[in-house]
Amino acid sequence: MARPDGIEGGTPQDFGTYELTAARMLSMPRLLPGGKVDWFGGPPGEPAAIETVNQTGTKRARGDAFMPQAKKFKPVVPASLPPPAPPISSVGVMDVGMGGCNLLINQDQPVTYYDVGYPLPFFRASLPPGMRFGTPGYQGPILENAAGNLEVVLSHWDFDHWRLGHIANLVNLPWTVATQPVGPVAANFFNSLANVQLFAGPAIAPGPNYTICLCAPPPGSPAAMLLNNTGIALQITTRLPSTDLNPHEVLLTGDANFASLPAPLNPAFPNLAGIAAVHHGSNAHGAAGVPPPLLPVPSAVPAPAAPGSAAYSYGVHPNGYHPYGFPVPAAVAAYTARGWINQRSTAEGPNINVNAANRGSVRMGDQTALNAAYAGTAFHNFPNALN
Amino acid sequence: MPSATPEPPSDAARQLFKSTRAQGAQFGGPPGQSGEFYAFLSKADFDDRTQLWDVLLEVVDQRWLDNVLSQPVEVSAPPPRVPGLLFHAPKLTQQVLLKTLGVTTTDDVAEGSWYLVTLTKSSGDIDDPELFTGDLFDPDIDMLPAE
Repeated sequence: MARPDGIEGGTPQDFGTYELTAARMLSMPRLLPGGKVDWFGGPPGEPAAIETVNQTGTKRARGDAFMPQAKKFKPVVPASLPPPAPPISSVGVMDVGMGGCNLLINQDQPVTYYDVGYPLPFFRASLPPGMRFGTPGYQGPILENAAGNLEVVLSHWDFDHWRLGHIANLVNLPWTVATQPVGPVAANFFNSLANVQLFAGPAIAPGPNYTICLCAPPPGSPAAMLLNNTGIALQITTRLPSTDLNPHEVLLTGDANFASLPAPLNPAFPNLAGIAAVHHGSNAHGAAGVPPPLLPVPSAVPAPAAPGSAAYSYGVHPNGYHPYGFPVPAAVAAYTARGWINQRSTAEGPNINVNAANRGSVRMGDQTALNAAYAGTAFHNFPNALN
Repeated sequence: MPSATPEPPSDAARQLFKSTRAQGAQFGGPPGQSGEFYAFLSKADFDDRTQLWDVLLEVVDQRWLDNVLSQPVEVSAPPPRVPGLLFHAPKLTQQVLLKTLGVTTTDDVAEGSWYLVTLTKSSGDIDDPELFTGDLFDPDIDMLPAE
C-alpha cells in the first residue's frame, strides 16, 4: 500500500478511506464587474487571494501553477492539412455512463467530439459494457475518422467531460479547450495533449461545421456557478427534424446554463430544435432554465409533429442508483413544460427516471448508419433516435 | 583485457548509493505523509434525491508543490508530471460540507477553489454523511484491469 509519493511508474493504488479533518481556503473564483472572472480571488470577505509562503519565502497563489498556458512546444503538423470537414447531419449524445460525450456526425462519418467524458471510478458501474476499460468486453470510442481530421472541443474541465481522452488515449487529436483553471490531475492531462488550442473568444466564432460560443455567467452569479458557466458551447446547424428541408439549430452547452450563452443567441435562441439537457439534467443554479421552445420554428414544421428534441446524458448503476441524482425530476419536468417533449436519454432511452432497459447513445437528426469501419467500437450504434 | 565478469561495486560505492538514497527518505512513505495537501475543488454536486453532497478534490502533497513549483522558472522542457491524487467524498451533509470548508453558503462551494487541507487515514464509514470521509486514490486506478 505504501508508495513513495511522487514516484512514477508504480501500479495505481487505492489508498482507502481518509477523512478531511481541516481545510483552509486559499482562493475562490470571483465574478468581477464587467463579466471577467478572477480565478484566484480571495476567500469570502477577503479582497485578494491569499498567497502562501514557502520555505524560501516565495509568495504565490498556488493555483496559478496549473493554469493552462499556450504551449511553447509547437505541435507537429503534417505538411498538408486534411480538407475541412463537411457540415453536420446529426448529433450523437454518447452513452458513457455518468459523463458527457457528444459526437458531431456527417452522414456515416464522425467529425467532431464535443466532450469526451468518463465516469469517476466510484461510478464506473454506470458504464455500458463496451466502454468498461480493462475488461474483455471493452471496445472503446472511435479513435479517428476516415479523413484523419477527427477533433475534440472540450466544454469545460470537469473530470466527467475530459477523462475518456486519457482512458482512450485521444491525446494526439487536435483539441480546442476552454481557458479555465485546472487541478493537478487535469493539468497532467492537459500537458499530455499534443495539439491543443486554448479558446478565449470571441463570444461567437462561426466555423464550417459549428459555431463556438463562449459562455459567460450572468451578472451576480455566485462563485459556485462560475466554472460550469465559463466554458465552450456549440451551436450546430442540421436537419432536425431530419425530414424537414429547412435546417434548425442544436445547442450543446455541457454544464452551462442557456442563460450563460452570448447574445444574440441568448435570449432569443432562434430556430432551435434540439438541445442536450444542461449538466446531465441538473437544476442547480438555474440549469433547468431552458430556452423558449422552437422559436421561431419555420412554418413548415407543424407544431405537434416537431416537438423540441432533448437528449440527456447520465448514468444509472445496475441497482438503480443515479449518481448525483441526475436527472433531477424537477428539471425533466421543466424541459417538458417548455415544449422539449421529445426526450431520450443515454441511460434509459425514453424511460427517463423510470427504468434503464433502453440505454444507449442518442442521435439527433439523420440516422444513416455509421461506416462499417467503426463497427468494432462502442460508438457505432445509436439505439435512441431523435429524428 | 577486461574481465568477462563485471566487478561488483565496492563497499564504498555501495555506501555512497545507500547514503544518496537515504536523502530521499523524507519524501517516502504513503501519500501525503505530512497529511497536508493542496486541494483543487474539482466537482461539488448536490444530490436532490438523497439531499447529500458529492465532492471531488484533486490533491497534491503540499511538500511536493512547495518544492517543485515554488518559484517561477523559465520552462525549457515539458513540465513535470504532478503526483496528483483524487479524494472523492460521495456523501456529505450540507452542514458538514460548509463547516469543514469554512464557508457559510453553498454559493461559495465553488469548483475551481483551492484549499490547503489535512487528510487523515480513517476507519470511518465512507457512507457516513456526518463525516467528511472519502476514498483517496491514484487517478489512473480506472485504467487497471477490472472484473
